[in-house]
Amino acid sequence: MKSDIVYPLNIGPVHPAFKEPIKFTFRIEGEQVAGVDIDFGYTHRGIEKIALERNYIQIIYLLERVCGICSFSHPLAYCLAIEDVAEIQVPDRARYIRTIIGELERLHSHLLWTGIAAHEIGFDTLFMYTWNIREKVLDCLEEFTGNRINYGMLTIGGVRRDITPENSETITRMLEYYMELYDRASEILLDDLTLRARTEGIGILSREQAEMFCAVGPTARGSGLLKDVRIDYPVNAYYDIPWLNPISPRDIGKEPIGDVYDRMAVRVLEIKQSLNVIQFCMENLPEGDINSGEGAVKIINKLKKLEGEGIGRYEAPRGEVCHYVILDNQEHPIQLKVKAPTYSNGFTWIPMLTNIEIADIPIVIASIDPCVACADRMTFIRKDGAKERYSWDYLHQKSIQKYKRSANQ
Amino acid sequence: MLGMVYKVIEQIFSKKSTNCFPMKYIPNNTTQYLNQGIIHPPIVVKEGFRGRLEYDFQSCTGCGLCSKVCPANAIELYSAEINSKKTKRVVIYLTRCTFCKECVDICPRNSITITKSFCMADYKKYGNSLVVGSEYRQQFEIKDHADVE
Repeated sequence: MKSDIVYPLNIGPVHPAFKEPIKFTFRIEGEQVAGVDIDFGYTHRGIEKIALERNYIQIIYLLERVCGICSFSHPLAYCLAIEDVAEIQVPDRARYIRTIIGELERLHSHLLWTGIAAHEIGFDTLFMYTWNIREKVLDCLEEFTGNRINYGMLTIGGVRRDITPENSETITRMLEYYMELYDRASEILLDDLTLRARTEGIGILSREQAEMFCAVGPTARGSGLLKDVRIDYPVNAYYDIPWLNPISPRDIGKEPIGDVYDRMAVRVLEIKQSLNVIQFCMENLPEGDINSGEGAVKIINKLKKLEGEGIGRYEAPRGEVCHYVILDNQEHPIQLKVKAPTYSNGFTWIPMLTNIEIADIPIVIASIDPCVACADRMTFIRKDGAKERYSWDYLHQKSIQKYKRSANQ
Repeated sequence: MLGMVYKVIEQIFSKKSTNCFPMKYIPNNTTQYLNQGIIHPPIVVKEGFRGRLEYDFQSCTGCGLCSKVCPANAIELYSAEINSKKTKRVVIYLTRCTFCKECVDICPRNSITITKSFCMADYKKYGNSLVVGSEYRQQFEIKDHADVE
């Protein structure tokens, strides 16, 4: 129902519908959303600044805590960036183990998201069902990394723990368990009438809009963009997998329009893809070392004598993670930049949330799998609490000033 | 109403269905209680679980590598005097520890080991149970007042 009166509706910064603090200001016409304004910056933790005071090994564990779910993707992107600068060759076995853990993480992230999406539309039975089956992959991760999240598996130039024969048996059992369940689960998720009614045609992000806002990950793929860092810029064992292709809703015979259903379909299909990748890696797991054999202190001492900049990209469950480091003959990097997937995807909320009904707001917001704390990389604090807007030109000018000054010193 | 009061009194005197917490109130030898049903067995943790750290004061050489790699800065070096020789030793603050096992991997003398114990709750944040090696610190630390000034 449309009405002539436009009234504002504030949701957030703290609201039970969101897991993290973020503020939305909607302009409501009747039951329709006419416009939306998004405010980030309530959960800035200064991780990039803290990282400049710690050494290269300590930063790995700091970056695991950027995001609870992507706690392998962030340190991996950082390690790839450092290995890029130092030209460290990662052993084959370590590359495969990295891939396996990355895919296990994707599996548990997508199952978690499916549960949250079901919860947001009020389908709590499905929420409990998916979170129940998610326990299996978490148990598997716990068994060979030691933790359910924040695995502490990575080191510069390899991984820290090996996959033993007992672990590989657990993984095989886990794969069988999910392969059996997958058909039933995907039937519930993709064909259920209630789910289809609540997700089809809602929160549309067209292909052009996705390109314009630089959407990444399942959000972009749901809109029909064939964009996947694992295939476009392969790292780890993705070189060796010939059949790996970006998932698209076309795989289930549906032309993508970029609604919530498409994004859900992409995630459900990626669960199957992850299972296949893990199976491939387990079958082709090469023998050999898992790291360079050098201790943490040796690595720090080696990196202390290096200069240069490196970049690491990896496809986290939510989209592309990108880390950029500058080394300058010091025990710590002099610059570290973290780009989390929600940083790109957050702006796609604007076209998605326009012209939907109020009741659909939670599922549309959840549909990009937001991780607000990952995306909060900048905050401005003023004593009087007033708001300021900074234009692109102003920030560009500021950055030129900063780097001119440091170059002159 | 009376029924409720009766129920509450019954609850007060009935057998507890949970364990005492913090875990230090549980007796050391628990097998005899297990059969009687007074306490419940602890959860079995997986192989490779990273729990409470243990520190061997005698084999430590005070090289300080562990405090260098610790991501949470949970390991503190202090000056100690052992057999009238000036050296260094560490204490580990478990409240800050992230259980990453970096210090165990780096230690050249295997002085720090990891156990599977995960019940560490206590009332005092800096009490003896949550600062590994604090009993040695009280005994051997040299308080260098010149440093403080």
